[in-house]
Amino acid sequence: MMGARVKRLEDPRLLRGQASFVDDLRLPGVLHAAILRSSHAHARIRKIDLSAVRAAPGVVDTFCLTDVWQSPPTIPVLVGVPSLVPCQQHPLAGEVVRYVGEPLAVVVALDRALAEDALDVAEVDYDPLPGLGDADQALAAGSQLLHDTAPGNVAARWTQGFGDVKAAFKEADHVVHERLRMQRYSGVPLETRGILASPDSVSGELTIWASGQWPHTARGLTAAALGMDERRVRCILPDVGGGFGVKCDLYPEDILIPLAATRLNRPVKWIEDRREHFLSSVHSREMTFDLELALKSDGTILGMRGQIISDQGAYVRTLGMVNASLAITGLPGPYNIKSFFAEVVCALTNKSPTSTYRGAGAPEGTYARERLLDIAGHQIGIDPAELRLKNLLPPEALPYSTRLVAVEGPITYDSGDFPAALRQALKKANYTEFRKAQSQARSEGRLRGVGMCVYVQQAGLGPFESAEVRVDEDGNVNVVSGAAPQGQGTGTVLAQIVADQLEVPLERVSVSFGDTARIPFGVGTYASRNAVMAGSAALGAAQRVREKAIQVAAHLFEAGPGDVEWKDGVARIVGVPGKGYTLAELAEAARPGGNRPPGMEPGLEARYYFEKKQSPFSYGVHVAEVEVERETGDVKIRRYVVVNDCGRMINPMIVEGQIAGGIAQGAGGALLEELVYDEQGQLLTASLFDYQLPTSLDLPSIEISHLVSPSDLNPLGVKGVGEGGAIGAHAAVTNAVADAIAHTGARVRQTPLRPAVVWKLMNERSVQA
Amino acid sequence: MRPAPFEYAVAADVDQAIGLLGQFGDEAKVLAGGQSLVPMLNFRLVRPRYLIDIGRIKGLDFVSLVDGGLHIGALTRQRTVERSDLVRDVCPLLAEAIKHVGHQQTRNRGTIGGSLAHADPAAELPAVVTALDARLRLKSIAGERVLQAREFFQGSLTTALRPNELLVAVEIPSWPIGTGSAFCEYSRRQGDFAIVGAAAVMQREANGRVARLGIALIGAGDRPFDATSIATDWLIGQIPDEANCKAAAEEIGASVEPDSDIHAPADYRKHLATVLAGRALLCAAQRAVIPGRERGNGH
Amino acid sequence: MDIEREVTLTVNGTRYTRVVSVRKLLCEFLRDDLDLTGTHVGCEHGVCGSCTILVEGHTARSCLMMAVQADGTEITTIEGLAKDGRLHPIQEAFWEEHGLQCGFCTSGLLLTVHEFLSDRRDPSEQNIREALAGNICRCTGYQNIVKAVAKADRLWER
Repeated sequence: MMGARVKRLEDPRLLRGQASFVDDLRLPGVLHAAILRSSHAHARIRKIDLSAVRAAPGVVDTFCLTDVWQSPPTIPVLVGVPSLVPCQQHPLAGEVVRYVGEPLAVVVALDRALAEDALDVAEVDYDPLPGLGDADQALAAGSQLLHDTAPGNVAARWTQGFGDVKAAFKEADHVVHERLRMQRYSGVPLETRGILASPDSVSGELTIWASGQWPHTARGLTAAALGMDERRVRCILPDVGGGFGVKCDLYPEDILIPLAATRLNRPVKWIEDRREHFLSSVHSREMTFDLELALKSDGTILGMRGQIISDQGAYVRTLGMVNASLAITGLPGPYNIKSFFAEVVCALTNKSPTSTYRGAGAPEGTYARERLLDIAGHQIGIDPAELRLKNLLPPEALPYSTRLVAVEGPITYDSGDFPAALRQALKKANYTEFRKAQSQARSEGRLRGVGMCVYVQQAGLGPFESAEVRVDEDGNVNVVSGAAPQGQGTGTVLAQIVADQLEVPLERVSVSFGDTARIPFGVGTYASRNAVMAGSAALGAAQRVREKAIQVAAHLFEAGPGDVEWKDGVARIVGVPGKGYTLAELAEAARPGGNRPPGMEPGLEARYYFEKKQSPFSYGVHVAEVEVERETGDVKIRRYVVVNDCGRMINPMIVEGQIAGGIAQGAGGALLEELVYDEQGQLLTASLFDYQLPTSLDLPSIEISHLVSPSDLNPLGVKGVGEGGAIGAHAAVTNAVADAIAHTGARVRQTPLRPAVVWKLMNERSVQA
Repeated sequence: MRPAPFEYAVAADVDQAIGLLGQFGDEAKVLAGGQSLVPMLNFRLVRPRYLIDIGRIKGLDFVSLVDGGLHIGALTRQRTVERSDLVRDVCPLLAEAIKHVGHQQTRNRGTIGGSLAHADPAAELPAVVTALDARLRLKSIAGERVLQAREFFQGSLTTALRPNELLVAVEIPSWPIGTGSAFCEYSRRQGDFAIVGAAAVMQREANGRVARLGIALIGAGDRPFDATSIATDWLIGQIPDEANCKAAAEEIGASVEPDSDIHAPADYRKHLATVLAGRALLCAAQRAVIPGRERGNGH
Repeated sequence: MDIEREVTLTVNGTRYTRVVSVRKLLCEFLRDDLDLTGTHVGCEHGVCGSCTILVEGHTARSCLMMAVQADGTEITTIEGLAKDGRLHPIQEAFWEEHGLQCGFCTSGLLLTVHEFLSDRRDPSEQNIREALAGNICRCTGYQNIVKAVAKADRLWER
């Protein structure tokens, strides 16, 4: 069971079209909401006139900020930094709007079409203000202030470092400097956000189904924003069509839709449309890096320093500082960099707020470092693979503390063998032969390139996760988890763990998630934490159930627990074949009033919280091979090799699925995807025509092999893997394209590398010093 | 994203359609396959007061050989054209180009007429019919008129169709058996609109010289760029080769005036225009059957 | 000129007659009026392919059709793929090969695969990737979807 490629338990109902995503849920009398959104990037709101909206056909309710709140709630920052100034968002704009798409009012109508018709007749008086289209503009002296509380439009700034960076750069033989940019892009799950809120007339509770990632946290935050007792709010996760971190926030709508439902005492549903999604679901990744490396002639890295500018958008919401923190602390990566100093500046701009998306700062920091390594290798004449092997931390150095502390805790690599992984990947990718093939191809006018990336990933964020395992009197095992998966197959993984522990067939185990009424505490699914946290919690609960079962059996046998052995789901006296007690029988015995040991709590069940602050770090090596077409700048990824180490794997098929999916997103970032604003702060990429997602033709088959460095930080020895693909691929593919066109003198310093961009780079012939 | 309110009528036949257009045309949109119109309705980019559904009209779904040329009814599904032996044999340029139009799912519903009437500057079919020197037949209560393709396409999403007119057929003239053709498009992903594309046909004589040709570009302006006269100057009466095809293509590239957008800047489009026009001309030349010799792509 | 019309259509073998608003999309009609929520709506502008159904046996994007256009047609949605409760071989293949993660794109994808495999045998990886290019998946990276289609080709006797 453990380590087995079992088919997913989730699949049959998904395959049959019997899933229940939030828009599939049906409640009698449900009303439909639409959101009036700002069409200006920065403006004073002189007036919002909803009188025509109120009178529009089918409209049941409409409200703006002042209709509801004297003192509006602010969306809190859960992950902050000491230097963070207040620049928080209200659920609706009040006097000022700060990004196109910012909510201004809510309309509730009999159906969505009528609600949208009503939006058309809303009248808003805007007094446009100068807008800040990018971070450089925002940070320039004398720029328009977005928030009175944020001088210079800086939301936060801080530095991190270790060692003597000044000395390193003094004694360096070479200093390599580059400015690198990663574009604004985001997760774009196929299911947009959606919320169904319904007051329950029997219990007096407010039930909220949302396409989210953290129902327990959402419950607490929503209740607080609405001034309700948390216990009167129930959050349930339905099936979720992809999350990728972007559904992990407290959005304005997360407050507005439940509010609308309580105002009307009726169920209200809001399903984000695709255009709204692009405008107002979190954006991510947009950072510039001004970085330097100090190296000895033999390629040893003495130090790294630089500055990151992170574009936060117009507000900082719940997880707003995570990306910046993981980017700056992710810069040194798995390398033995002896000194380091960097500053990160989080700039406020008139764009949609940025927050976590798969990797949440790690792809950004990794890209900058891995790109700089290639540039350095090129500059000082050392092969990029050799340069990495020279500087990677050797396995005996682990566990290794980087001496850096991110918002989520200290960065300590617990286990792994980075050089072995790189060697294995290079061998698999036929790296040395490729260099020969590359020159041959170049002489024929074909531009082939290879790029690599070695990354580490925090994989198993604490502080806890919950699980309850309960056996019923049919012997079926029910697991409730505080996790909140969005397609990762966590149900199957937890079932494998529990089935393994109880030694029952997988089909006997059912798993449910994400319901605040079923388990009182939970954290959710993000930051690659399921296997580690939810898995360890399920293990702990299952172990306790097994122990309890043995104790009940011992009682029934009138023996000591030490005389009882557990095998294949049956308890027997050691050495006595024949009569045994099944789980079903033991569950029955354990019921209240049943025949159980005196003093034992009734029920063959256990609830367990796995609490751990320190997370394991998984890592990987990606090697991408591309071909660039000279005349068009088109890039095709021809081959993609991965060596991945996420410790022990519970279901390698699911692990590989996560890797492949992440790679598609990272490759999309390297080559295709970008959220583009014009000078007026209008989003130009607000549809799938303009925001280009990778298709089946954009990727080759990924060749994945595994190393296994178990983690000591949890009883399963597992590490997370979900984000790794996205972290590795953006850097590896970018490096591959740079390698393919290096001979033209092209300087590849930003992404996405769309055809026109690649063509321009090849033809600009700017030669690097 | 739901359409703004409209009123709807189904036209049972062409007469009813043009009658409705005669009455409501100024505020109406015609619904055929819907693949281009419905997204615009959903985004509320268009808000017609009336929607006239012509999808039930019989008799506008045909592919016929007429005087050696191909007449295609406006309601012929793109899928039908994709699978038609007649199209493959008589008009290989269209057979080649149609595979680039959207995806199978959109070709199953989308119509030839719908794509032409929509006139997206990045769409394939308008350039194809321009290269082929086709004519478009329009009908209204005032009668019928026939326009050359180059008169029909007037700008981005703009054609010569009057509000009361219905496009009923596209009429591709006869290009002799053995005419070479090539469709060369560059789009970032399969099924995307073209960034730039070139559609070329070329007929060669027994001495190998070019007797007749047509070439039009996609994505190089707000409408198909008819590059026929430029290519004619270089190639008619000549033996087509890499050098003169390239020269023609360079002049074409220098002549187009595309706009920049987020998908491609203008200079890149001009560059692609040169590259793709050159490829299309050369490939059409190579595929053309020189009477008396073997080779070609049509037969 | 109408704002509502009666439509009659057959979906998964069952005939339905309903009165619909003329501006209702077919995907909305299937999901809301007929409770067939297996067809998913990912973009409402015909790019993602999540809403793909079969109309008269051919794939179509149900977000690009008005419900009134479906009058008189025969439609198959994902709910019509499994027969008598048994998974179709294509569904079996996707299950075996881990060809889905969140499942949102899966319904539309399976019907696209159905059309693709209906009239061909032994497709190459390239053929398969081309056939899938009109359906976006954000979770799987397409890797296992391609494997699943190859397996479906072998499992499905047709």
